[in-house]
Amino acid sequence: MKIIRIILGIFVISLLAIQFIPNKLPENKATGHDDITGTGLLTPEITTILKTSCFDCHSNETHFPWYSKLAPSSWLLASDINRGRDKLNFSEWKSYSKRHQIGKLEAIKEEITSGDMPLKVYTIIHRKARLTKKQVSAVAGWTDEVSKKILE
Amino acid sequence: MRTTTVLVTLLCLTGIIFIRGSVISRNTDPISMRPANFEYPMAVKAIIDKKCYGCHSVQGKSDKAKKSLMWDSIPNFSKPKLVAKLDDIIDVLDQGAMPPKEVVEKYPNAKLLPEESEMLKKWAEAAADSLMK
Repeated sequence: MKIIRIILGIFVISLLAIQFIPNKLPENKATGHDDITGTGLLTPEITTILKTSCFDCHSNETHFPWYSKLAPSSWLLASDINRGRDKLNFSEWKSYSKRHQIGKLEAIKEEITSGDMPLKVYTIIHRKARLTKKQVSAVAGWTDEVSKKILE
Repeated sequence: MRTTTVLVTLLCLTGIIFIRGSVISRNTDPISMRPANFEYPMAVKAIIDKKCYGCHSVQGKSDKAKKSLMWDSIPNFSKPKLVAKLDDIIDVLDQGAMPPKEVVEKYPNAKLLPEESEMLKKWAEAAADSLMK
């Protein structure tokens, strides 16, 4: 029994100790005029889907739940959000060149069609973020339309 | 006799028009979405063959590489997909991500030289620009 208490004690102390390691959680910078929602490219349906299923990692409007500030989950979140924003940030859409926008639209279509996005580790917790077949189809169709518009 | 000749001629003409019509390309994509007559310039192809083709072709051993990019498939992409792929290539070149580190460690000659990377990038940028006109 003593050994269990020792192990538990070490566990709790470790958990407390790692809270002092700085996590690299990014901030929510104010969303400026580069945001995609200001472009007129989105329908209400697409806006809702993107905000529910994508924006936490792919925008500057991340919702940070209580466990996001607690190590070690904060480390995983920081990694996912930083990488997500780096790959695609809807809050910076207008700052992308037209070529880059087309590149990202194609990538969005591929990632959601293959089911690689949204991340499973995210949708396990955020069940509403799971994309139905209909939603995948709607967003994929939207990416095609916008690419076409850019090329015209 | 004259009536028959005229009728037969009309029938033949109708037949020709009908057959020709069915032979015309069934590509119903709008022009902006069709393949773009895309070719690799010789100098670019030389670099691709030397440094990329080994993995990014049918003969490649890595499924991940083949899923990501196949040089032989790209010329047949629709315009948007082509522009997107060129954008992707430019990103990868900017990051110096290819060939992968593990490959370069094993085969130092596989490394993309700065001038090769520069040439590929300039080509990809120009190609994308001309597609977007």
